[in-house]
Amino acid sequence: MTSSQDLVYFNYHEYVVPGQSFRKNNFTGPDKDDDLPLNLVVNHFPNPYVSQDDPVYHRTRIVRIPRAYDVMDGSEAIPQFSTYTPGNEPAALSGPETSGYGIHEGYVYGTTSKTQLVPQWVSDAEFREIVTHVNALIAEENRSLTWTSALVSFADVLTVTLLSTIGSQLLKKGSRMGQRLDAYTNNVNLGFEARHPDLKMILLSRTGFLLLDFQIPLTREIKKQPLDKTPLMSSR
Amino acid sequence: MAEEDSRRYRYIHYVVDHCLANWVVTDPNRVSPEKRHRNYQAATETPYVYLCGGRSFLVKKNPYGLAIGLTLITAGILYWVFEAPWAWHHQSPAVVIIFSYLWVLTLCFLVKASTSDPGLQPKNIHLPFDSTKLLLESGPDEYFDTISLPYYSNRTVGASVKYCATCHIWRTPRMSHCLVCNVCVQNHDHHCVYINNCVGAGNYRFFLWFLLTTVITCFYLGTFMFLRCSRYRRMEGYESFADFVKHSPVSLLLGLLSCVGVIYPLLLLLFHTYLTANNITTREYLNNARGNPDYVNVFDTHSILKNLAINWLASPYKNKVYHPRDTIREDLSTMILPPLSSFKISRFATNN
Repeated sequence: MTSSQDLVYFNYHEYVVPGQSFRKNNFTGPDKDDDLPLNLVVNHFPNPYVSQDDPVYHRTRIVRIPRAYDVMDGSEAIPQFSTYTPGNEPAALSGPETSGYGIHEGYVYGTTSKTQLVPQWVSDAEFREIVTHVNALIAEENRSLTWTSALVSFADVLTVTLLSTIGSQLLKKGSRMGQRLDAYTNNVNLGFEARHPDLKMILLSRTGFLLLDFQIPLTREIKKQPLDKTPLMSSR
Repeated sequence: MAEEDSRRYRYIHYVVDHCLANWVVTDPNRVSPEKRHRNYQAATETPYVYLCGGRSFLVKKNPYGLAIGLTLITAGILYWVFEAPWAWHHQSPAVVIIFSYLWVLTLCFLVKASTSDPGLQPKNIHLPFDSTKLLLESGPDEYFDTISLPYYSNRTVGASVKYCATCHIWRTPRMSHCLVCNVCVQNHDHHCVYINNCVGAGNYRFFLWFLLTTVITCFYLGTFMFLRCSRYRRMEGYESFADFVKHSPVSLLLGLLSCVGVIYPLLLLLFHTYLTANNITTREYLNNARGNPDYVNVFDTHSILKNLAINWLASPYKNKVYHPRDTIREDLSTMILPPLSSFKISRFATNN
């Protein structure tokens, strides 16, 4: 039970823009009521992990799962990600499942915080399992204050810092935290590839552990067709 | 023969200028575009020079850290040349060994604090829209707010995150943008001109131990130098202080150097001991806590020993995300983009 003064979590990457409305409730094309303005929730973003000349940049978007700081003690130092399904955060912008879609700068967005990642590409349970497993791997590797670390610090003083200098060079691969994390990410991406070649989880070393990013195939703007049953999601 | 000599010198110049000089000290601004293969060779937006092929770096602006290092080295050389032989035979070999150990420790912690990654963060990975629109459109209003999110031990005050309009990333709590280094740093304490580097999650421990060893070394050296000038001079047959100083000026010089050299590090050490006992950074203290009795530090574990241990004994920051020696990637993270502007700034710029 939360008190009225407790802060609530939300995805702070998303923002609201006015957009041109599209057909509400029935994806059959525009009609005269579609000039009504909509408040669209921008919840997928440009792909910064590829070159802008790369075709992948133009056919994919990024769904961002931000850091959460109430998962465990020391979450500001030990990266932990939100286990809420995108769109289900306590302070997420919500609405009916069939609330409007609109177009903003050539991309299709909805009026809620729900993204195309879940459940279109990844199920709710699978998403939670991935994030929970990633959080556990990171927590395990990042426990900074242990008896071992204290002994190493004292040993560093005794060895005039040679221990930390030489040790970090010898363990160079291990010091880039997350060989197991990268292996898990690559394993997840093998499964994603079967669903769509552009669907992938970005390596945390690329995101700087600031986000857990998912690359999803792009939802393109639908060209206006007269009364044809044109599917909204045309990328599959 | 003259032609051979000329060719040989040309070769030596080539090796020194292009291989040794560029490998020992690399200034990204002086690397030609076709030779930029690794991140550090293309890092023109940072104020760093890279050492030993990008394995460590220094801020090139106002290199006071080099002056500190030179002072340390000079003091050490003076001691070993002029004082160590006497101390070895007339006091104890342990006196010289202990000073040597403290001196090496101080120098190593200075080097580690100066050249370690303080917790540099990537850039341009949280753009709200396409980068080509940065000069044309203002950023969303939501990106200029400070967001408070629930924190594990405090769900009412919480932890704050803020967007960095220069680096184009949402900063985690305790992360700040350094104007000197033009980069966001994890657990940014301050930018220290005396070590020529930011003090952050990656090197705070080394900075603290550098302060401690400097103070101990200064006290140790000063004590033995003034003992030599006062008590031990009579053993050498100098009743007058002035005569002894004429005979051995380096003793007094090192004593005075220790007295001067201990003042600032001691003050900093006391200040940072207070900060670490409360698990608060310099930036948080000066911007929020100082003079504000209502400030709540959510990162304080409410145990002085645990707070001290976190800062002095915990493992260095592991999630290093900046790898200077990695091959350059052709993506947004390596591009220099204009800052995200707010609606007010854009409107002002348009009107003018």
